[in-house]
Order: sequence, then C-alpha cells, then structure tokens
Amino acid sequence: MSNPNTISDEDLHAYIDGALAEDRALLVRKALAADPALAERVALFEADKAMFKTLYAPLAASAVPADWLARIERRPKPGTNWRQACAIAAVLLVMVIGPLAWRYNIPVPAGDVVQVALDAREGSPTGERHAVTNDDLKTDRYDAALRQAVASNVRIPDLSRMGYRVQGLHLYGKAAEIAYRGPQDQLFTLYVRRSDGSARFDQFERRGLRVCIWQDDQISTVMAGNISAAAMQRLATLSYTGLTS
Amino acid sequence: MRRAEAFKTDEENPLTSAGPVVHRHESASGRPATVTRPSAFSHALVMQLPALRRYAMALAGNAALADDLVQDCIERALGQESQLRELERLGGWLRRILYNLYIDEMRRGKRRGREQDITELADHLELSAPAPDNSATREFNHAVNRLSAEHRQILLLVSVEELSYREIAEELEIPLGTVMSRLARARERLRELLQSNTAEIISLPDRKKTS
Repeated sequence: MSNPNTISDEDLHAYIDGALAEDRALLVRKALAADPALAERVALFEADKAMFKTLYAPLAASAVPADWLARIERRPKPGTNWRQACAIAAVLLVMVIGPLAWRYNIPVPAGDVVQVALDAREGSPTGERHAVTNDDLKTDRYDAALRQAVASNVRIPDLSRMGYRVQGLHLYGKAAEIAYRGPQDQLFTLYVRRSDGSARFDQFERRGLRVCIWQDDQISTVMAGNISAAAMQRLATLSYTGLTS
Repeated sequence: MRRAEAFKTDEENPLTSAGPVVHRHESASGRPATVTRPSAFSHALVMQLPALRRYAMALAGNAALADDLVQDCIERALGQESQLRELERLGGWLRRILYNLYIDEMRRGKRRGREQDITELADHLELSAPAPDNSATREFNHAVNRLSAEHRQILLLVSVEELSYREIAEELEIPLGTVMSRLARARERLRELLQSNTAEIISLPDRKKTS
C-alpha cells in the first residue's frame, strides 16, 4: 500500500496547474519548503509553463486570412438569407480588421453598449436587482423576465460546466445583466439588450477586464470578467449558445 | 404598441407574478420578432479561428503547414457540422480535427516543413510581453518541436489553451489519470531537452577566444 504522504510526479504537476485538492496541496507546500532541490525543480516546471504562455499565446492576435472567413461565409446552408449573410459578413469584417486596427492603433469604435454594460457591472445605473437561487432558476421565471426585458427569445445560459453559477439578474428597462460567480469566486457578467441590427464580434481589454462583445441582428451581449482570453473564449461561446438555444 | 419596458406592476413582472407569463415578442418596428439569427455555428467557428491558428502554429512549428491544417480543418468542420453535438464543445472538436489532420500529414510523411523560429511565427505581431531573450526563446521553441506530437498537444492544452484536466480528458477521450501521467512525462521530457540544449551550448568553444 502506498504511503498517502508520498508526493507523486502527478501531484507536483497538478499542484503547478492549481488542480490539486487543498489537503494534497498543503502536503506539497510543506515538501517544497523542506526540500530546496524539489522546490527548484518545481520552479523550473513553472517557468516552462509560463514560457509556453509568453511565446504562443500572442499568436492568436494575428489577423485571420480573409479567404478563410469568406469560405465560412460562402458555406451552403439551407435557409440562409440575406440578413444572415450580412450579419456573418459583419462579424468577418471585424475579425479581419480588428487585429490590424489593434496593430496600427486605428481607433475602432467600441459602441455604447460596451460602456453601458461595464457601467452596469460597476453598479452605476439604477434598476431592478434580483438575487437568484437554484430553486428560482427551476421555475423559468427568470428566463421569462429576461425574455421580456430584451424582447427576444432568450434564456439564462447555464455556465455550470465551467464552474460558474448564476448569482443575480439585474433588469435595466430593456436590458438585463446576469451575474455569475466562478470557481474562485470571480465575477463574470453577461449584459444583454436588443441589438441595433448590426453584427459585431470582438474581444479586448477594458477597465482592467477582459471584455467580449458578441452581437447579431437581434441581441447584443457584452461579457466581462477578470479572466484570461482563453477562458473568455470558452465562456463567451457557452454564454451565446446558451442564451440563444 | 407594448414594449418590454421596466415592469410597472407586479402583475406584469414575471419575477413577481405567480401566473403564466404571456410574451409578445415584438421588434422595434412593431413586427413580430422572428428568430433569424445568423448561424450560431458560423459565428462560433469564426470566433475560434484565431485560437485554432495559434494551436496549429504551436503544434506544427511551421506557419505554412499550420495554415494548411487550419484550412483543411475548416473544410472538414463545415462538412461535418451535424456531428457536433453541442456547440459549446466546438473549440475542442476543432482541435481534435486539426490534431488528426496533423498526425495524418506526419504519417503520410509528406512534410513537416522547416522548423520556424518563434519570432518568425510571430513576425507580424507586437508581443504584449516584454521582448524575451532570443536565445532562450529559440532554445525553448526548438525543444518543444523535438517533443512528440502527443506531448506537444497536452502541454499546449494545459499551458496555452488553459484547459482543466477534466476538459483535456474529455477532449482527448482519455481517463483523468492518463492526462496527469502524460502531462508529467511531457514536462519531464521537455526539461531533459532543454537541459541537453544548454549542455550543448556550454560545450561549444568560445569563438572569440579561439579565433
């Protein structure tokens, strides 16, 4: 039988990735404090992990070739109409121009919805605020409130797959903000209102937060949180698809 | 025309009303709002492209091959959309397609392409991070390219894509324990390669002194 106090290589790497249970993490911390060679080894692994991020993460900021986007736009799909085509084209345009604009410092109008959403997150506007419990969520009343606020067939997305739980629904006239708390208690907000009809997609940093705007011809969504670009990408996909499913 | 204004009475407010809520979805023009959104699949696919291209570049270590892989991946994804059960799993689904395309490419032995320096891969970028030490980054990139595809894959998923172990297990369809042991082996192997690189460099004579 193996000694429960023995630290395996898997434990060490799970510790580096923050994936180790707290009792095991405590054991690893004690071992690191007592063994400088082990501490140095872990520090090297941590440096390697950071190097991956430093070197490869910025590669996602490069402009996507226009012919890839055109290929997606051209995709034959029954029922595609001119509105869909225009909306996708606008998204594609943002994808092509956005990174170039960032590189050459061309100002890209962020649109008021981002500012309004971030103001809402900071609690600036007044509006109805409702705390949400799990029991409430089962009743569909919050979905109904959201649908009525934004006058569109939407529902509160379930982000529990990524460890995010609904904490509150805030109604601001024709807009709504859904607040979530993540596994480390981090706040993630999803602001929803009617769209001005144009399609937009962009991801950037604003007010120290990672922000993603995802807008189609019916709804605007602004997502914000103190999270990485990769985490935002996953949360944004889950939010948008959950909202419109 | 009734708009979705702030609720004026409790009866109107579905959060306080106990009765059934009747929705009359109306657009700004007063016409019924039909749900004619652009394909969520197209939106989501476009959104995934930058990260997918990064993944391909880091996996292949060659920009031209990476772009070919992404293009093939787009074609395959568009043709197999119906096989994706949940749209929120699109990122992992695309990475899996791309990885399989890469392995097929390697197996056919067509080409691996010239290993490119990380600064060439990123030559059109203004890295947000402080300029790294060129020799250190070159060595690191070289060592990563000498790893097996399987090891590169798991290191990229955890370090760059920031997936949890559980998400990696789901994406690769392997047990959680295998994720952990494979990751441990990949990191150990990378360390060995980096240390051997360092040893090689140290063993080289100093040109200034010898010339």
